[in-house]
Amino acid sequence: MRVVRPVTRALAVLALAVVVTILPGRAGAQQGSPSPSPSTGPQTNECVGCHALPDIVWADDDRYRPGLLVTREELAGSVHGDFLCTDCHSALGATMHARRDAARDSCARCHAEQAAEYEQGYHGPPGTADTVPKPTCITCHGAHQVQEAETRDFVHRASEQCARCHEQMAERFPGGNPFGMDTHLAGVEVATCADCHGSHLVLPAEDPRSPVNEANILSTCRQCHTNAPPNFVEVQMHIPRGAIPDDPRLRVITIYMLTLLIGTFAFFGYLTILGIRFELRKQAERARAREAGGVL
Amino acid sequence: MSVTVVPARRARETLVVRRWSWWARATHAVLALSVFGLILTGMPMHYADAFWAEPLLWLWRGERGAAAVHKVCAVGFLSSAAMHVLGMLAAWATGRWRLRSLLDEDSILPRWRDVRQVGEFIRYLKGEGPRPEFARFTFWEKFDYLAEVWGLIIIGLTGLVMWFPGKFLAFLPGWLVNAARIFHSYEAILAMGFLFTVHYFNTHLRPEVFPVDEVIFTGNIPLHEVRERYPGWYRRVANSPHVFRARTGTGWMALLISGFYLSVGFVILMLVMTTAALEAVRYFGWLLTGRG
Repeated sequence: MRVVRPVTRALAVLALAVVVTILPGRAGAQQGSPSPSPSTGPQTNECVGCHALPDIVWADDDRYRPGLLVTREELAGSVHGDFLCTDCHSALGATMHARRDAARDSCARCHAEQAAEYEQGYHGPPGTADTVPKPTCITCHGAHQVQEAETRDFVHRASEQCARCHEQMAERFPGGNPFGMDTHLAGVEVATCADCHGSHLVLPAEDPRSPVNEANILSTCRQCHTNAPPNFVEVQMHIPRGAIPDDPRLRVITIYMLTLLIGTFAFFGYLTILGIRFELRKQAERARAREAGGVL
Repeated sequence: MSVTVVPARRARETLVVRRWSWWARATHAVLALSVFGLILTGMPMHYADAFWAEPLLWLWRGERGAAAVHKVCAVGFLSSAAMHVLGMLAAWATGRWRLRSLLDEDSILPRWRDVRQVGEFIRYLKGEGPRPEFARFTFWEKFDYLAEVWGLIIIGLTGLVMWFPGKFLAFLPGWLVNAARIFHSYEAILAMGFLFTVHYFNTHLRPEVFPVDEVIFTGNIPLHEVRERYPGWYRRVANSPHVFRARTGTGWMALLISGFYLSVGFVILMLVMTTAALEAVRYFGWLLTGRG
């Protein structure tokens, strides 16, 4: 396990300071812009000075970057728009960018119930350097553009975040919707990841508390399909589109249909090509006959 | 004010034979209209991430609108099947059609002769033999009809399973819903591909009748066409009371409808085929290299 030493942190701060000094023109242009600032605290300006630079995103690794880019426009649209950055990022004062997941502690100050659920779930223990990063509050809710979370619209946008880590599901379950319909095309009423797997308390299917556990899955289906019979749970939900499925029965059906498709088009394609050649030959013969007639 | 339909071309009286009753033409109209609606709503839902899906879905005010129109068209699709069965029942009850005629030479059911005529027809197209003595329906027309019946049963049943999963899963195993989706989409692609190529090529796109074969609009086929295309049927029908005089020629309405179907059908076919081909290439690439 890799430990982030204080020396490393100090170096990181130093590096950031160097970057800020090297780019005074751009940072200055940002600060000097006449756009109305919703958060007028000197702290906010200081943070946004760097975080509004589009390049800030690329300082992070490619896999996991929860809203590093902070613009004044985003802040203006947030219900927390009048907060100071360190109201939430309190830990930053001491550690400066050291703990990404420190946001949880800040959110928990007001949202204790959700934070407690989250801590009990699979996503609770923070990710370390040699495990995959775990999502925190801001992964789904956003950092500075926190929106109303009770809407179907939000559930859909939040579920798109799942595929960022669960890449295998992104392929098998595009957009997080049953039968592979894209989230942005399907209506928001269509069930998505969080509707079956839960949101704050996310548990593996083996856990008896999980909504997708064998014992609970039927009642989970019945949230929407009120009269779902017991067989309902046998329907396979994570099926990729267009490929030959793993299930042997579905595999046989797919291969049968593909054979029928290819066979039909091969046979009638052959007949059509023969027919076109026949027509061309007939027309050529007619033209020759006309020519011969003209000569005579 | 009276509206007169002016025939566009070839307007003249000639001897014709009744090929399709008004009820059969009405059934075909309901079928063609609903199948078109089904294709234009179903394909963008199936290929939801293709570049043409979103503009098409915009036409239906989003995926939910497309799904609603798809279900309305599905009712029309099943109604056309009901119309066909009811028409047969009525004709049978009034004595205009006998069950035994299904075994006749001019029946639409396949006979051993059709299998022989496949080979004869291929030899004819290669210039190695005479044209087979087709009866009232050629083997590809019989295939057209039977594929439609088979496709309607498959697509209709699987569509109903996906529409009312709760009702069907009360007595069917769950994996059949997944199977229904596979059957439904492949059968739809097969049906669409067949309709917009083979069916069109053999009806409206033949050089003799391009751009519209009026037989599905008027129900009448000129006797000389019967002699050339269906000599077997001609021998039986030429001296029968079924031959009568009627005006032939393509009306503007038939031209418009046919032109609309041919052009829109061709465009959607090209879009779907491109996407399906790309998907097939991607899939076979994955099959060969193991990387996707």
